[in-house]
Amino acid sequence: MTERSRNAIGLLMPIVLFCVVLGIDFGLIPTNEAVPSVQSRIREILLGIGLIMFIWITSRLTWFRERTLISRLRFLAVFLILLWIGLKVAGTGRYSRVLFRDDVHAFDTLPFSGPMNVFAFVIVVILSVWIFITLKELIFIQQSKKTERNFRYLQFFMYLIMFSSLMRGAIPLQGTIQFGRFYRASTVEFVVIGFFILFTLINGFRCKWIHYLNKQQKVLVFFFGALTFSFVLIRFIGGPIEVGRTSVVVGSFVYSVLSFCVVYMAMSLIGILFHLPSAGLMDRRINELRSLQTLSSTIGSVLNEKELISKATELSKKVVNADYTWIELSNGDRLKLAGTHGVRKEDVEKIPRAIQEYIRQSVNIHDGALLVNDLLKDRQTRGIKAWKQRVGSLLAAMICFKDRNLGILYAVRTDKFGFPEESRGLFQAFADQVAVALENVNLVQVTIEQQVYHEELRLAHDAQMRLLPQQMPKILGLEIDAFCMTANEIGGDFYDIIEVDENRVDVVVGDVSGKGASAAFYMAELKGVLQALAPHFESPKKMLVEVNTFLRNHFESNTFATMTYGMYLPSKRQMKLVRAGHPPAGLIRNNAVSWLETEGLGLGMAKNEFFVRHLKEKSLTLRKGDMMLFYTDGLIEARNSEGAEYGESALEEILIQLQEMETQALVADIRRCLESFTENVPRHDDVTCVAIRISK
Amino acid sequence: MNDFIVKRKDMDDVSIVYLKGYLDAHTAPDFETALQQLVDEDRVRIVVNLADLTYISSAGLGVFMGFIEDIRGKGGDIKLAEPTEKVFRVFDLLGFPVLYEVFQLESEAIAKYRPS
Repeated sequence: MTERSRNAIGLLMPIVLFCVVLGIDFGLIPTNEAVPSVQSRIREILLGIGLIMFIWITSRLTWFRERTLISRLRFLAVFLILLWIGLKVAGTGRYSRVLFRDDVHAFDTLPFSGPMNVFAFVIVVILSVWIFITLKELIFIQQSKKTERNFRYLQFFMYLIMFSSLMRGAIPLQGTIQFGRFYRASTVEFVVIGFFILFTLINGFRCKWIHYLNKQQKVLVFFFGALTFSFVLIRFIGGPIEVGRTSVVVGSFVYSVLSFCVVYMAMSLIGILFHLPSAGLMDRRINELRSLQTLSSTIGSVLNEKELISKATELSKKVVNADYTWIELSNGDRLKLAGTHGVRKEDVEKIPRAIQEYIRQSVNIHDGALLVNDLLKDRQTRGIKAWKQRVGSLLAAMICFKDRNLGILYAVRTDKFGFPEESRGLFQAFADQVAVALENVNLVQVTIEQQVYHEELRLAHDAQMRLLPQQMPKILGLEIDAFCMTANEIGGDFYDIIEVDENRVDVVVGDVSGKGASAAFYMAELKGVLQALAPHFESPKKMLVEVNTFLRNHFESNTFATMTYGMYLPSKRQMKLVRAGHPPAGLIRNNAVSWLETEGLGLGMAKNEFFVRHLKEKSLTLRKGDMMLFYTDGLIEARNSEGAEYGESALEEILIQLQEMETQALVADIRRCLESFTENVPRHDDVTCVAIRISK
Repeated sequence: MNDFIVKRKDMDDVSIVYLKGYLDAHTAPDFETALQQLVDEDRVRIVVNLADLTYISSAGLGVFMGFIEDIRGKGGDIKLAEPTEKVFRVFDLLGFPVLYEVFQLESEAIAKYRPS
């Protein structure tokens, strides 16, 4: 059976049963008039079954479950008022006298007599059921393990009372409790009623929903609750339930619901009454927690300091209910006013210096926030009278992050003793949150700055890479290829191919000492100098002497450069070579590598006379198939994860292996071999490599 | 691996600086400080013992050059002693032995300062 069809049957069945009863009452269905008590019982049984089904189906309706607390309470009040009216209407008219007979065989009920009577009955039943279910929902708020069980028992004993009224033909509860009526209950009935009262009381204690109301709501609920309660109470003691005249079973249900409602309302009203004095305090606590919570979530979202300061002052005003607040942040070793709320910045700055200092000192030594209850009376702060602002009491808390003092947060109330003692802890907790937020903002700032820095370095790297030859010159009979990898974004390594004219091309590989930006600047300068000097010299030695002069004059004394400079004359296949403190170039010829280690000092290290004396120029005549390799020390000093260096011999081995290759493939292979050797160990030095080959 | 230690020992008017580990752009300032201190104390007869130096980069070499003229101007010198083969190779390529006296033994370097 689907949910819908079950609900439909659950609603339809009570209606059908009720119609049958109406049929009996209005004589549409023939019955045995001779046995009125049997006829009455059948009638009561039908009504009872219908009622229980209706209760069951109503309790399943989601409409009742998905109410908010306030709307439940509102509905309860409305139902009760309507019920009160319904009971009044049901009681008007025909029944001026009631028969109460201590007679087991007779029912003191009367059949339905007219539409008004039927209408009132239906309304009263529906409202009672709804009230019952609404009470159930209230009881089930924040339910515990026993809640459901206790309520089941209550319902069970309620049904037992209905059953006993069926047996007796009268409403036992009404007779037992109601003052001035005569009704002799049996022992069993007493026990049943006793248990019903017990569970009414037990369930009556379940009014946890009171906690969910704020102060204003509590006051309202109490006022309207008390009003409704008095109506219900009047009805309860004011006379028998008129519905009971037409059906004792239904009557006893309505009566039990009303009794339970009276008890529950009384308990709730008492509960609210007890909570009222502390309601304001509770509300404030909740507000405080909310402000703290708001700040915590603000931490994640505010990433600029200005906004954070304005939020911090605004929220700190709320959190301790201050009249105005301000925040000082440390700027180096001085505290500087960063933001205010509810007071002007220039006004805060006018606080007498001595008092400012006193507060700052006291905050430093205090555990938790500093509280001055009466600024105008306190001996140390009395001088604040000179300040134009209205002041009463003050809270001040250090904004500390991991023992670092980031600043101080202040809150002022214009009345003395404006802050309760416990707000000290709260204010400090708040200041701690501000500290975390500030630290976050700083971290983000640093990260952004670093990103900018990296971006700039990347630009510098691109610029430096553009200083290197962008494409290799096409010279008949000569292949040239190169690579340059820097250890950092920028470095001191460089190479250049200078085509002086069609009869000469210079190949240079160099390394400026030091690392990073300074080396890179010198490298750029050196490259320019070489480009400028090259056309004017026909001997590399003479040229480097000139370069040495330049370096001596323009570089720092601890900066020098090493270089291998080759002038190649294609027509003669002549290579004039000097080595200025640089790793020697290699000549690969006939399966052998010879390292051309001529004498020569690094550039910028010694005076010219000394430099000249020790610089030797070498002239080579190259042959077809010869290959030369120029490189920087970064190549052979590259390290792997075990700290071993790549080494000259490994390079030699590769060169012999690859001597037949074209230079483009050769440098690519050298690079690949180096990278597979170092794996992911970061480079500690730039690596540069230029290969040339005589192809014709 | 990248640790670098500078130690100093004074023997009469000669100061011996012991370098240990990895001398590069990051650790060069330590060495610079040590030399600066010697210059400030006017102790310009210096022997740098390189026995435990495993690596020297161009920035490290630059430290020698940054001080040598000043020290020589004051009548002192920096002499190098006991370099390992690898470190000597770096010095040699650069032409340092032309500019600085290099000794196999520290005692030889010290002896060089003594009038014979």
